[in-house]
Amino acid sequence: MPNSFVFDPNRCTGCGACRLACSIENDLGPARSWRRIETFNPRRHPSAPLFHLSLACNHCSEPACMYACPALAYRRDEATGAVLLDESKCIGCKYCSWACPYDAPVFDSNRGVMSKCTFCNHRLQDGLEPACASLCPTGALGFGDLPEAGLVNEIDGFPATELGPRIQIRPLEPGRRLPVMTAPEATTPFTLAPQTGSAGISLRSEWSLMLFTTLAAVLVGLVASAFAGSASVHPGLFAGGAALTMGLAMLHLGRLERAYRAVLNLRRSWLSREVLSLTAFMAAAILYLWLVPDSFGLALTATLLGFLSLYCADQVYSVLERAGPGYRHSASVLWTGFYLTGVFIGSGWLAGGFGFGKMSLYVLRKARFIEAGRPVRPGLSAARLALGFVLPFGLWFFGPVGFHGVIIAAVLAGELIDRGEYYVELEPTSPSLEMQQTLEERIADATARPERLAAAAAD
Amino acid sequence: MNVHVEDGRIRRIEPHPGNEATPGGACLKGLSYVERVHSPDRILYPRRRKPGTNEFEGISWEEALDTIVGKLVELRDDPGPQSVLYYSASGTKGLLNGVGLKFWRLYGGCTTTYGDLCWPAGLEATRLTLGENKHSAPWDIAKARLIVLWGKNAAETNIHQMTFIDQALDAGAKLVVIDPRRTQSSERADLLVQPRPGTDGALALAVANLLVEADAVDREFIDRHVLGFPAFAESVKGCSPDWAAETTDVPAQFIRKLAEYFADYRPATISPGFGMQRFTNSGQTMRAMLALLAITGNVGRPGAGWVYANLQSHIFDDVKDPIAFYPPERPDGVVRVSISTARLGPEMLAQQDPPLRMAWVERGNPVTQNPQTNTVLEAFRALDFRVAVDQFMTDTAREADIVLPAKTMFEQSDVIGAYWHDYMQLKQKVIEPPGEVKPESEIYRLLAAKLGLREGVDGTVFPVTDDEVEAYLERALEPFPELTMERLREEPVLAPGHQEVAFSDFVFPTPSGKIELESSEAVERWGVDAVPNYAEPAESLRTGAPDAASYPLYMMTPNTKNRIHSQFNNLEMIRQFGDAPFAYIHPDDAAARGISDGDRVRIFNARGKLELEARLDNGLKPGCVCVTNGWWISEGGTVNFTSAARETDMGYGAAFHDNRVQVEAMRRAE
Repeated sequence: MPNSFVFDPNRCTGCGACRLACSIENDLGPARSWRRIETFNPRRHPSAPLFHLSLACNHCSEPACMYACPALAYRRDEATGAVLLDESKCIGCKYCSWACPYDAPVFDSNRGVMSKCTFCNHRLQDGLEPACASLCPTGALGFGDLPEAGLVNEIDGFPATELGPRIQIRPLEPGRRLPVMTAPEATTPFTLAPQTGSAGISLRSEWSLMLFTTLAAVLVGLVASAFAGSASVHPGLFAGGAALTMGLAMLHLGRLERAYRAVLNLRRSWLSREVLSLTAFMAAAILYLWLVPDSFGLALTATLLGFLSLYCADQVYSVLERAGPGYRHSASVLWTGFYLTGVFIGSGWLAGGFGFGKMSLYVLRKARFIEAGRPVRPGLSAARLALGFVLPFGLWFFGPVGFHGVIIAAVLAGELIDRGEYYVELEPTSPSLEMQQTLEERIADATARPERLAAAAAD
Repeated sequence: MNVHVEDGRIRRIEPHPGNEATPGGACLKGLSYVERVHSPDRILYPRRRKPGTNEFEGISWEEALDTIVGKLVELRDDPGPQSVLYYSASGTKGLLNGVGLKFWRLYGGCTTTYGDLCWPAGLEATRLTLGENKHSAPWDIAKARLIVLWGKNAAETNIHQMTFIDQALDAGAKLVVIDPRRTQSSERADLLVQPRPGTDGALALAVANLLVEADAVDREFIDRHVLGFPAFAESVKGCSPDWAAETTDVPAQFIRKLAEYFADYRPATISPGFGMQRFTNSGQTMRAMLALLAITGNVGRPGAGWVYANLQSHIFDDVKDPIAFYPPERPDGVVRVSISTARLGPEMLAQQDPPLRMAWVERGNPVTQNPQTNTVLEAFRALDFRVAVDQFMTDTAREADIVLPAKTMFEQSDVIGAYWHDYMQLKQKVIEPPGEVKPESEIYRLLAAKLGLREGVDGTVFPVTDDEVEAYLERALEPFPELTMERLREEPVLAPGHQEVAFSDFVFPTPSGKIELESSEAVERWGVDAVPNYAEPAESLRTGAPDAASYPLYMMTPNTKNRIHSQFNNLEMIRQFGDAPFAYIHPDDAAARGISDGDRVRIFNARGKLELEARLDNGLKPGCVCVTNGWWISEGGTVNFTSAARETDMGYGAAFHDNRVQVEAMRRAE
C-alpha cells in the first residue's frame, strides 16, 4: 500500500510543531523547514471558518516537479514512494517550484539549489513515520496507507490537481466549522490579510526572463528576415545578441557550473527542450550568418529551430497558466517572434495578422480583469497599445517612409511592457493563493448573520 | 520526554510513551529546547555591568563571587540581612529549587515575596469550595458530554488537552468556549460566549439562577455533598438573564442557551483558564463557576468536574498551594515575607527597617512579568546592587550588576511533579553544563564557602556532584516506597495515592466535609460574601470611574502557544512564528481611531505605554484590545507597562488583567 500523509484539519491548531520537527530532524537550521502552516481566514471573518493546512511535499504519483526538472535531479524511491531531489544534480533554475502547485520545493539561496521534503525517507526505510507526523501533539498530522475510507484530497485552499498527491485529508466536520458567536459583527468593511507564503513569481525576480524571452524573439525574427532576404544581419552583432540572451538566461541559475545539465530531460521537460532548441538555433544561425550565408538548408534549419525554441519557451510557462492547452497570452513569445519578423521584413499581412491578434488578446484580457476587479494599470495598458500597435501601424500606413527604425523600437517597447505585465500577472497555483481566493468567494456568498443566528436559535 | 544526545548536543526531543497525558509530540516550546540549550545567546560565563553603562563584560567566577560576597558581608552588618530581596519564580521547576531559601537562611535571612502571579485566586476559590486543588486525569475529559473552556484557549496553552477534547467531540459532546476572543479553541465550539472581560461571575450566577428556577439541579447530590445551597439559591435570585446580559454584554438568549446546555448534558466538565482569575473579583467569580458544577452534580464522577489545578503530584510539599505561598502566620524573624508579588514594585520601594538594598533574582523576569513595569524598574534601579541568575539576557538581567549563568533542565537531575497530569518524573542530567554554567546549588555552595558558613559546604545541603544530587533526590523520595530513582529513570510514575477521577470518594477536605457554596472561611480570611457574588472589577467601565472616557478599552494580555510567559521568544525557532508584538483590535474600534491594519499604534494609560503594530481582528469583542503576554521590552514592549500592581480578592494573586487603556494611531512620520 502506498505511503501517504493523513491530515485532519479538525484537529490541527496551527501550532507549528510539525514545522519544527522537520527543521530538527533534517538539520535545516532553526527557522528553515520543508513544512509550513497555511491558515484559512487568519483575520477571522465571521462567516468563514478558521483552520490550517500543514503542508510539505505530497510525493505525488505524477510528480510535476520531477517531470519539469530539466536537470534530472529528481527521482522516486519506488519502495517508499518518496520523490527525492538530489541537490548535487540541481542547477537551481527553480522551475520545479513553478511546476509544483503545493509550493513544496523551495530555493536555498545560500547554496543555490532547491531543497525539498524527503518524506523522511531515512525514517521510512527504518520503519518509522516522518518526523512531522510522529511529533504532531494533537494527532492532526499522521501517516498511513493510501487510500483510507472517508478521506479525500480536497479542502478549501488545497489546489485540486491530477498529480495524485500522497496526502489524505479528513473533511471539516459540519458541526465544527463555525461556532455561534455572541459578539456583534463589525460594521467596518472586512480587510483581508496580506497574502503570504507563496513562492510567487514577480517582475522583480523575473526581470531577466522578461529580457531573455523578448531578446530571443528578436533574434529569431532577425534570422527569419535574413532568410526571407529582406534584411542583412551582421553575424558579429547576432553572436553578441545570442551571448547576451544566454547570459540573461544563466542569471536565473543558482549553480552555473552545472548549467549543462539543463538539457538532460528532453523526454519530459519543456525547459530542456527550450534550452536545447535555442542553443541549436543560435549555433545554426551563427553558422549560417557567418560562414555559409548562401545555404538555403541552413537558413531554413536555423529559422525553424528558432520558431521551435520560441514555441518551447511558451510551453515552459504552461505549468503556470491556469488555462487549457489552447490558451494563448498576448505576450506569447512565439507570436512576438512572428510579429517581429513581420515588422522586420515589412510584411503587412504577417505583422498585421499577429499584431492584431496580440492586440485583441491584450484588450480581451484587460476587459476580463476589469470584470474580475483585478488591477489593470490603465496608463501602462495605454502605453502598451499605443507603442506596440497604434504608433507603428500609424507610421507604417500613414507616415512618411524612413521611419522603420522608430517602428521597430515602438513595437519592441510595446512587447517589453506586455511581457513585463505577464510576469506581474502570473499567478502560479499555490495553497496560499487558493486560500485567499476561496475565502473571498466564501465571504461574497456568506449567509447574512440574522439568518445564521435564527438557525442557531432553532438548533 | 525522551532526549537524544549526540556529541554532547541535544539533538532531538520525543514524547515518552509512558506519559499517557501527552501521547502526541511535545509542544513547540518543548521541541525548541534543541535550540535553547545551545543558543549562541545563552549566558555561559558570569558577566558584570561596566560601571555607568548598559554594557556587560565577562568576568571570572572568582571575581563575580567575591564581588557578591563583599556586598553580602557589608549588608549583613548594616542594615541587616533582610535588606536583601530574594526573588525566585517558576522558570525551572524541581526539588532543588529549595536550595535557594536554604542559603538565605544560612546567610542570616532575607526579604522575600508572598502570593503568586499565576493562579492563586482560582486555587483559593477551589480550596474554599472543594477543599483541595486536584482534578481528574487529563484523559477523563474525553468522557464529558459538555465541555466548557471558560476563559481558556487550550489549543494554545494546553495543547495536549485538545487531544482528549477532540475525543469527546468525536463522541458527540458539546463544546462551549467563553472568551471575548474568537480563538483556535473556540473554532471547534458549538457556542462562543463573548463576555466583557471580568464579568464571568455574573454569567455564572445567571446560569445558576436559571438552573435553580428550572429545577435542573441535582437534588440528591446537593443533599448529600453540598453545604449552603439554600443560601446560594436565595442569593442568585436577583441574577436574571437580563441583568446578566446588561452586565456581561452577552445577549440573554445565549445565557439561556448556556443554562440549557448545563441542564441537558451531563457529565459536564468546566476547564477554566488562569487569565480570567486575574481580576479583583476573580475569587468570587471562580466560586460562582464551581457552584454550577456543584448544583448539577458534576463533581466526583467520570467526565465531570473542574479541571483547573491538579496538585496530586505535589507530594513533597508539606503545605500545598495556595496556602504555601501565603505569608506565614507567625514570622520567624529570619526570612521577612513582606512583599506581595502582585505589588512587587511599590512594596519593594516601601520596605523599611531595613529598606531593601540588594536583590537576587533567579528563575524569573520580574521586570516584564510583574504588574506595573515602570514601578518595578524604579524599585530595581533604587537598589545598590542586583544579581540575576539566568540563561539569557532578559530585561531583568539587563538591570543587574552581576549576571550569573543558569543551568537548563538537561544539566542537573531533578524530580518534578506537574499541575495538569499526575505523573512524577525524573528529569535526568544528559549533558554537562556548557561553558562555565553552574547550577544554583553549586553557586550557593561556593558562596557559603566564601562566607564561611560551615553548614553550607556540605553536599547534603547544596548537592553539586552527580552523586550528591542523586543522594539528595533519593532522600526526598524515601517517604514514597513506590518512587525510586531506578523506576523514575525508566518512565514517568503516577503520583502515589493519585485519584483517576478526582473526589470520586466524595471526600471534601473543607471544614464541613462538603462542597462549600457557603464558606465562613471566605468571610473570615478574605472579607468577601459567604456565597459567591458579583462585584464589578476594579477597572470596570460601569462603576463611573472618572478616567473611563480617557481609557475606554479593556486590555487583554493572553498567553500564546509560542511562549511560556517571557521564555522562549528569543529563539529563532519560536520567532519565526511571530517576530513582533501586535495590538489586536476590533475593526470598529480601529476605524473610530483612524487606525488601519498594520499602523503603528500607542497603547497607554496613566501607568505606562507601549508602541506596536495594529492588527485588525474581526473575532475580538469590540471594546477590547489584545496583546500577547511575555514580550520583552527589548523585543517591542511588555504588556505590564500598563497593568496595575493590585491583588485579587483572595489568594494574594495579581489582578493585572483588570486593566483599561486607550489606543491611538502614531503619526506616520514617527
